[in-house]
Amino acid sequence: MVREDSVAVRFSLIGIALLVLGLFIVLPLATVFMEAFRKGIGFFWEALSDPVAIAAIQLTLLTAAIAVPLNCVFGVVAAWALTKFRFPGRSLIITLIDLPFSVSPVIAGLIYILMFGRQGYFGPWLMENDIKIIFAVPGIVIATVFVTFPFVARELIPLMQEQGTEEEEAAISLGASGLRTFWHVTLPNIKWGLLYGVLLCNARAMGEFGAVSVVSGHIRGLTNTMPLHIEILYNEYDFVAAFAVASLLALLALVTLVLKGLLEWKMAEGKKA
Amino acid sequence: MENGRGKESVSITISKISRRFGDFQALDEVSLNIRDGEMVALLGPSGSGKTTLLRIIAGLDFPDRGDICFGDESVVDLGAKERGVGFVFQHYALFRHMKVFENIAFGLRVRPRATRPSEAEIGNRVRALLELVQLGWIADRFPNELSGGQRQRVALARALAIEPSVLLLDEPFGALDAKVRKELRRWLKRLNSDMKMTSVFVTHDQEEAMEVADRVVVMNQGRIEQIGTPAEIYGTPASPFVHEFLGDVNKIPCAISQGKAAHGGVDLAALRSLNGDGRGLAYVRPQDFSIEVTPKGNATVTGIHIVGHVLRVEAEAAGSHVEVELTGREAAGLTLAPGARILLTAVRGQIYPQH
Repeated sequence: MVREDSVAVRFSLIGIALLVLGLFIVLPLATVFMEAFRKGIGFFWEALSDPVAIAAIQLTLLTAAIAVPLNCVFGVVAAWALTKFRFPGRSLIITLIDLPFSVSPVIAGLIYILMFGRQGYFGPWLMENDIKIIFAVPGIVIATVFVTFPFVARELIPLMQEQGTEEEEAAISLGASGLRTFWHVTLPNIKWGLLYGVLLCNARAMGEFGAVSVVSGHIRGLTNTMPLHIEILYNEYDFVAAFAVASLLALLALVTLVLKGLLEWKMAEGKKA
Repeated sequence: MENGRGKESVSITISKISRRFGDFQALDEVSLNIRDGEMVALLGPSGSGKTTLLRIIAGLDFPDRGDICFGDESVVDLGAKERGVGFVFQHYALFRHMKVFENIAFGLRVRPRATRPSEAEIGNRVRALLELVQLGWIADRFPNELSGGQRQRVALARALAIEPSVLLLDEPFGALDAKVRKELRRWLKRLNSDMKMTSVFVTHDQEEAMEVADRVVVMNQGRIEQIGTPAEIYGTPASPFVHEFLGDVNKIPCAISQGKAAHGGVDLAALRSLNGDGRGLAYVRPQDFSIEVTPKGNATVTGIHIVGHVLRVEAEAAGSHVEVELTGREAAGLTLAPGARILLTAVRGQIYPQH
């Protein structure tokens, strides 16, 4: 191995990597927290306890609380169907699941305006029946579900493909029902991958800006999620408040990172099995 | 092992089973009777349909046409869950997140409450099964902590836990190294003769089939080529395919006239021949020749190799390359050297018409 003569190269490479990492990731992240606390904890707290901020936090939590479980179920069902059975159109569906990743979130939002907006396909019918989707909470939830749809399924499909169907067949041949097989054989085998997908799905659901921005209408206290609220505060030059709310999202990102690391380690352990 | 529920092992009757995957005809009107308590090997090259047949017997796959009966009862419409079949998978398929104990107990725990044994009874049963497979000390380990041979035996114990009427094994020794494989083979054979359980296993290894099975079913391209005891299959192969699949064979082109096969270099007079005239192919195993060293011989020795206890002689006989195997005793009286003239006589073999 090349070792002795590459010390200088190694250190300069590591140095460059650290520098870039510091400049583009650590520094901005630190700035978020520094800005948030610049006028002291009092201002920080005030910004977060503002009713409009609380409404935004609540809406974000609500959206994630609906979108994540939905996509969790969708993801498991889709991955199960796509990996444990062979049928025509299978690979087409696998491609379609990735669609939300390849489409710009803004387009995703516009799709729903086209469908449910006043001039959209279902617009008149929705108006007649007094159902509000666009510029209301349902629109935000739908847009979030769309954008975060692939996370769980994408995580599970390769995992379940690798694991194959033999264990399930063994369970069935031992007399277990389909449900019991799923619960006692399939689910324990995919639990870490599932958690990983859920974690990423949640991070995105809470942080999504583009698609949600298009369908939300930015009504303060009603249809503003945390990212939208941050943008408004920033545009109004209320930097401390903006960074206070932003620091919550940044904190979420950090927690997500730590948990992600833990899960990756767990999955590597599981793979050794 | 005593059968707690007194469930008897059964005979299996397979009638005219066909199965197609897209363009591939995996099974083509296969019929087979497996007797109660018998151990049968499904032997064939990959793609011969043997694994498909096994999965159909298990209820893990279903035929397009045909019927399967366990005893007198048709099971063709039942899924694997209802058939009560013990299945040992090629790669064992142990539940990786369960300890060995829980793996074996699984089939008992999933029973409906009415027939589910008590916790104490499950414990006793699992321990008895672990004793049976000689792994009493391993209950608290996870599958990934076991060797291949141990996993294989745990998979077997798990399949036996549900007191199956039929035991099915897919390439049971395929993934094991040679020494463990030999041990397990003998052990399984003994287990089967003790338990008298109808067993079917799939293999592509003819030696394995010969050693373990009471009867061997040779399969090729979705059809059964021959069914018989190992001795029958080896001694009187029913087709060129079986002949070739079960050990080395010399294929000697010959001319048939008036029921006699003739070849310029090898004496084929002892072989059962066909009626009619035409071209034929004589199939003769290397050990089924006798050699006489004589200047009158029409064959020439081209090479001699000593392989363990056999002497392998290569000869050129009127344009045909022939391999002969002699035991030490047969070779004792002969002075063989490359270039020696010999008289080659086929003692046993089969002549097939060539089209």
